[in-house]
Amino acid sequence: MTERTIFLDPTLGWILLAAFSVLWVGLGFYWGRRNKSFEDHALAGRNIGLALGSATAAATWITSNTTMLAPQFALELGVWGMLAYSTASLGLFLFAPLAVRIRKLMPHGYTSGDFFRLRYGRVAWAIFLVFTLFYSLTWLVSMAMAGGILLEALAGIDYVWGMSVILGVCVLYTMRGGLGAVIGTDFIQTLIILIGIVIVGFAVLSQVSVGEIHAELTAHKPALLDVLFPAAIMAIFNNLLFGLGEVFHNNVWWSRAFAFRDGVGGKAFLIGGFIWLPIPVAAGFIALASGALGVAIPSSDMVAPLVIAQVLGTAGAVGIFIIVFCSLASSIDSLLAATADLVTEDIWRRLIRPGSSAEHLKGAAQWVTLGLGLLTWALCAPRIGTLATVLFFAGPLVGAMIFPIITGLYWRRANTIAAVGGMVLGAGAGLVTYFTIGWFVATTVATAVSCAWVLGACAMSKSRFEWIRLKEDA
Amino acid sequence: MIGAAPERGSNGGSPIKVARDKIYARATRLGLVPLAASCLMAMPAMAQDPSAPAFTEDNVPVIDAGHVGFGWTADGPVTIRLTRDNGETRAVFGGQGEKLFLSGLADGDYMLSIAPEGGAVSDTLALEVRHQSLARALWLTLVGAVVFALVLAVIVRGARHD
Repeated sequence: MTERTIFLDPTLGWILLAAFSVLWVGLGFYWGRRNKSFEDHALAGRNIGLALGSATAAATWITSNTTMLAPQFALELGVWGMLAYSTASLGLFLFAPLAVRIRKLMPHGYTSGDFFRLRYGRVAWAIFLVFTLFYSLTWLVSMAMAGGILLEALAGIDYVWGMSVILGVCVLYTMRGGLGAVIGTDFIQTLIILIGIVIVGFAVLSQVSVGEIHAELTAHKPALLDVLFPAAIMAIFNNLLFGLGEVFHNNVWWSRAFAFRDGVGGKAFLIGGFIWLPIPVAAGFIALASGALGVAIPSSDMVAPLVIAQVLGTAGAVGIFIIVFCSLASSIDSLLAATADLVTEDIWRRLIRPGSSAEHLKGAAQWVTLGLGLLTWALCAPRIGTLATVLFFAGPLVGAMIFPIITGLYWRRANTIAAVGGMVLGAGAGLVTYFTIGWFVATTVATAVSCAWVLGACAMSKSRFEWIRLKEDA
Repeated sequence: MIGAAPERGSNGGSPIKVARDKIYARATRLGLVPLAASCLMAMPAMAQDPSAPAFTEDNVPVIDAGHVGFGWTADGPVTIRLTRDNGETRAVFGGQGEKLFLSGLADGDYMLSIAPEGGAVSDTLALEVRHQSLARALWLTLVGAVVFALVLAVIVRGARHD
C-alpha cells in the first residue's frame, strides 16, 4: 500500500470553481427576478411541483457529509456503518406523511417555529429556537469549513479563498433568488451528483471485484464485517434517530413542506428518500474497496477522494471536485434560506416588527441571509478545527425534539409540559451520555428519555388542543 | 528515531538504552519478544542516524472501536508493519507519507514497526484493541429499536386517521 496525494492543478481548480460559481449565481438571479413578496422569496409562491420537489428533498440531504462522511462511516464501522448512514433516508420517508399533515394543519404557515409557537406556546418556542439555531449554525459552519478544507486538499486552493468563494456564491444566489433559486439549483446539483456517483461506482467495480474486497476485509479488517461489532451496532439507531430529529425539526424541511404545491409534499419526500438511499451505500462501498485497491488512507475523512483519484486519475479528481462543490452548495444554500426565513419570521416579524409588510419582510430576509453568511464566514475564517465537531453535540438536541413534534402534529392531548420537559430532559441526558459513553449512543438516549417523558405527560393530560389554532392567517 | 526518543519523555540514560528499554517493555507486555529482539538488533544502526523514521505518538490510548490514526516523521520512504499478538505480520504502508489510518482491527494486542525502505526497524508503537462491551451495545441497540418502533407507531397511526 502506498499513499497517493490527490492533486488537481490549482488553475484547473480555479477554472472549475469560477465556472460553477457563475452558473449558480446566474441561475439564482434569473429565478429570483419574479419574487415580489416574502411568500415568493421564502416559499417560492407555495407552488413547487413534484420533479423539483423530489430533487430538492434529495439534494438538500446530499451534503458533503453524504459524499465524505458516509465513506468514513464505512471505513471506521464497516458494513453496519454504511447501512447506519443510509438509515438517514428514513428521515425523508417518514417526513412524507408529516409534510401532508403540516400542509393540512398550517396552510398559511411559514416556519417550524410557527408550529412550536402556536402549538406549545412561547417557552417551548424559545427552547426550540435555541436548539434549532445552534444546530443550523453549526451545520452551516461545518459545511463551509468542509468546503474550504476539501478545495485546499483537492486542488491546492487556499482554505480561506475556497471557503469564501463557496459561501459567497451561495449567499449571493440565495439572497437574490430565495427558495425558488435554491430549489432550482438543487435540481441540477442532484443530477450532477447522481451521475458522478454512478460513474465512480462502476469504475471501482471495473478494477476490483466484490469477492476480492470481501477477501481483503476478512483477512485484514475483520471487524468491518463483524455482525456484532459493538460500536457499529450502537451507531445504527443512533444515526437513524439523529436523521429523524434533523429532518423533523428543521426549517429546511418545513419550508419545503409549505412551499410544495398541494398534494405534492408526501410524494416528493418519498421519492427524494429513494433517490438519496443508494448514495451513502455507493459512497461507503468505495471506502470498503480501499484496501483491495491498495490505497493507503492518511485520515479517514479523505478516503473517498483518495480512492476516486486512484481509480479515475485526473478525471476522478475533477469529478470529486465537482461532486463536492455541488453537495456543499446544495446544503449551504438550503440552510441559508431556511435559517434566514426562520429568523425573519420568528424573530424579526414576531418579536421586533410585527407590522412589517410582505415586501419589507422580503428585504429583511435578504439582509438576514447576508448577515448569516458574514457570521458563518467570521466563524470559519480562523479555521478552528473543533468548531466543525460541535455539530455532533446537536444529535441529542435534535433527538429530543422528535416526540414533541410528532405527538404535537397528531395528538390533541400533547401539551406544553410534555414538549418542554421532553426537549430539556432528553437533551440533557443525551449530552451527559455523549461525554460519558460516546457520540454513537447520545441521540438514542436523548430520544428515549424525551419519548418516555412525552408519552407519560400525554397519558396524564386532560387537555385537548383545538387544531384550528394552528391555522393562523399569514 | 533515536534522536527523537529523548524528546518523547524518556527518563534519562543514553538514547540507545532508552529505546531498547522501551521496546523491551512493550514487547514483554505484548508477548512479542521475537519482534523486540529483531528491533534490538537494529538499534546500533538507528543510533547512528538521527533522521531515522519515528512515530510521532509515544503511546496510543486503548482503541475501543477498532480504528486508529497515527503519524511519523521520516526523511524518505518508509515501510510500516503491523504484528499481531499471534505473531502474524503484514506490511500496512510502503512509500512516502506522514500519517496513516487503520480500521477494522479485531480485539488483541498489536505492534507497529517503522523502518526506512529496505532498512532496519527504527521505532515501534504498541496498540491495544479492546472493543466496547457487546452486552451494553446490544441493550442500547434494543432501546434504539423500541424508540424507533414508537416513532413509527405514532406516525403510521396518525397518518391513517389523517
